[in-house]
Amino acid sequence: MEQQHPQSNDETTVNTTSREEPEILDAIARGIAGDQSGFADLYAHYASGVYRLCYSLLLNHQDAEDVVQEVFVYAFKNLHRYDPDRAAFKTWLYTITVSRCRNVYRRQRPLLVTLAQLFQTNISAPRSERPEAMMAERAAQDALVSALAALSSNLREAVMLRYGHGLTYREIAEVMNCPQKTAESRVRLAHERLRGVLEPVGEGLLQELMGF
Amino acid sequence: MGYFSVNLHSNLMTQWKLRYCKTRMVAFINGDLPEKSRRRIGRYIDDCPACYDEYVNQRRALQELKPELKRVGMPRPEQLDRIWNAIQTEMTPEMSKPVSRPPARARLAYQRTSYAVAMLVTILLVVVPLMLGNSGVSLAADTTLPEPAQRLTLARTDAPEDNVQSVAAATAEANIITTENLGTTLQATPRPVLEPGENN
Repeated sequence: MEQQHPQSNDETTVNTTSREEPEILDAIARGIAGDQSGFADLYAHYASGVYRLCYSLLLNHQDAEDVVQEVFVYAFKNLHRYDPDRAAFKTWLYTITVSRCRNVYRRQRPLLVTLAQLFQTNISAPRSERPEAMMAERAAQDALVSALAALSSNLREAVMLRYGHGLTYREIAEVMNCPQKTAESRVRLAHERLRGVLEPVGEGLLQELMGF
Repeated sequence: MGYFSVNLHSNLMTQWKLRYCKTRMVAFINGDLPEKSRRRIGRYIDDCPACYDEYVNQRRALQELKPELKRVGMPRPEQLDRIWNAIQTEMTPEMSKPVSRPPARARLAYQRTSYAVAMLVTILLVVVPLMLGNSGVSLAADTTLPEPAQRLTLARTDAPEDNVQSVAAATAEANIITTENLGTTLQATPRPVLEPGENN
């Protein structure tokens, strides 16, 4: 992706007292000023995370691509509404993302996902060349993704935001528009269910798979 | 009796501690708990073997889950490029600027005009036909019947010759050519002038 880095517009200022990284604030300021390079920088910084979140919630590539496009177009058009003092840009972006994903699975059918499709395109190649380890890893991935697909949307959102994207419970509560305690209990419940899926695979094999 | 009482109390305390730890262990491992709760759980982990087991299990599960979940849905570069191209297509330079709306006064005038037009159409479609129907006025032509035709009634007689004569007498007044004055009429008719070459 071709990106430009022109000089930032001095007339457009964003509050630098926030905890957001300076380069992100600079990109936001350039975006507000209408500079396309600001949009490009923001996209380069956040697109991967937004796509992973979309895919992990929708479990469908086409839907994920559509939502990512929607999210960034909406965010770029409404960049002036973002308040750095209230939340990190990532949290604001993820709030839009979760809202758009909810729209998708509200108007669509129940989640139907083929595991073969998921593994083929989303799980990286096995790190071990041993056939036993490969099979065990495959089984672990199979179990994990099927368990993820079987979770309710609330639990899936919570656990992916926490473990997949490293948000704090406060940020998760903000993104999911729920109390912090609710976010905590959702993460815990999802964690319990996913843990139950991974246990039968065997600790030894898993440690080998994970490279511990 | 005292032994059983102490043992029961110990079991209840263990269950209570375990329940407390279970509901907060994930947050504890993630470092999301406030200081007071962190210290409390730390004490329970040291004192209570069941709480320690819970801690070990949860920690191991987190170590398993985190890397796996981070890998779910990892996009390929060409996917991100495709999405970026679509975004650029959708985002025109005008879009990045604030949307210019017409002034409030102009919008109000437009709304008033719309309401006026809607009312006028309603009147034309509903009120006018109702008024016309109630006043008895009709836009159609007057539907008076024509006068009945005068029927000529003839007295039925047995002699047909007399009857013929009477009809001839009746038509004579109306200047109708009858068999009696046919010859006179033909003689009075001027001879048509034929053009050269027109024989018939």
